[in-house]
Amino acid sequence: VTALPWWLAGTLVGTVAVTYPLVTGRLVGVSGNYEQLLDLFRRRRAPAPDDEQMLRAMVAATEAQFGQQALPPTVSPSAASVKEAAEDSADDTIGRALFLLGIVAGGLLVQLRAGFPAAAWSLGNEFDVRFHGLGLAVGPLFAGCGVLIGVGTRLAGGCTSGHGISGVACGQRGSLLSAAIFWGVGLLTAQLAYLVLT
Amino acid sequence: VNVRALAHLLLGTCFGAAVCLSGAADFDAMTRMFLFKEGNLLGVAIVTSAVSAVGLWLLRRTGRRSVVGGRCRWTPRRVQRGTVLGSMLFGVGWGLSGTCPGTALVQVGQGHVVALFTLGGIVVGNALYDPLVRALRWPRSTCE
Repeated sequence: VTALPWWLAGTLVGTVAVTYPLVTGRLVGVSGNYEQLLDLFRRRRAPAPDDEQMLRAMVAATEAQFGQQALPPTVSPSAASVKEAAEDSADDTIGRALFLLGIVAGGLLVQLRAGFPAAAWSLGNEFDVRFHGLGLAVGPLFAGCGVLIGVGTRLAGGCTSGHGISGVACGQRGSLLSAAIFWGVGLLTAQLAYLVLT
Repeated sequence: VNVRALAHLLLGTCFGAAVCLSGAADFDAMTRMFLFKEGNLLGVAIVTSAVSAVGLWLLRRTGRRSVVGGRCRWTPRRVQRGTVLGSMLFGVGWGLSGTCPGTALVQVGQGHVVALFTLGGIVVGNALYDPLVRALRWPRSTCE
C-alpha cells in the first residue's frame, strides 16, 4: 500500500478523530474498546455488578417503594431512564465491537485496492532484515510485544490514539506525559533492536 | 438497522482506512521513522494532532450534542499510578513490533499473519491487567 503524503494523511486521520466524538459523543481511543469488551466477557463469566449498576438498581428500588420525591435531586433517574441507560450500555458494547471490526475492514478495503491480501508472514524489508534469522519464533516474539502493549496501555490509560491523538490534542496532562514516554521509549527500543538484530 | 451500531462500524472503517493510508500500520515506515531514516510518519503525527486540536476545541466550544451518543464526554486524562510504567512497557512493545492496538487490527485486515500474534498478545495483556494491579495494590483505572 502506497502511503498518502504526510499532510494529507494527517488531515484525514485528524478529521476522523474529530468526527468520531461529533457522532458518538466519545473521544476516539482504541485501547478503551479492548478493555470494555474484555470487562464485559469477564462480567458474563462471573456476574458481579459494578458500582454504577449497583447504584442504579438501588435508586430504582428506592423509587419503586417510596416514589421519586424520596430521592435527592442529584440522583433521581426515573425507572424509564434506568431502562434507557441499560439499553444504551448494550448498544455501546455492540458499537465498541463494531468499531474494532471496522478498523480491520478499513485495512482490508485499502489493501483490496492494491491487490487481494495474501496471507503474508513478512511485514516488509526492514522486518526481514531484523527478523529473518528468527524464523517462526517471530510469532511468539510479537505475541510478547502484544502483551506489553496490552498491559502497558491499560496501566497508562490509553494508547497512540486515546493519549497520542485525542488526549494530546486536548492538552491533557496524563496524555502528554504518557505520549512523551512511549514515543521516547519506542524510539530507544527500535534503535537498540536495530543494533542487536542487524 | 441500529443507527448507532452502523455509525461505529462506518467510523471504525474510516479510521482503519485512514491509518492504513497514512503508513502508520506499515512496519517498515514505522521502523524507519524510529531510526530517523524517514520523516513522513512524524509529519502525519504532527498534522493529526494539529487538526484534532483545532477540531476538538471547536467541538467543545460549541458544546453541541453528538449525533447518536448524547452529550459529548470530555473525561479528563490525568496522570495516574500506572502512567509511567505503562507507557514504558507500551513503548517497548511498540518500538519492537512497530504496532499499537489500532494498527494491529489494520494489519490483520491487510492479511498479515504476524499481526494475529500481536493482537492475541494485546488481548492477553489486557487480561493480565487486573491480577497485576491487585498484586501491586494499585487502584483499578480505565482507558476512558
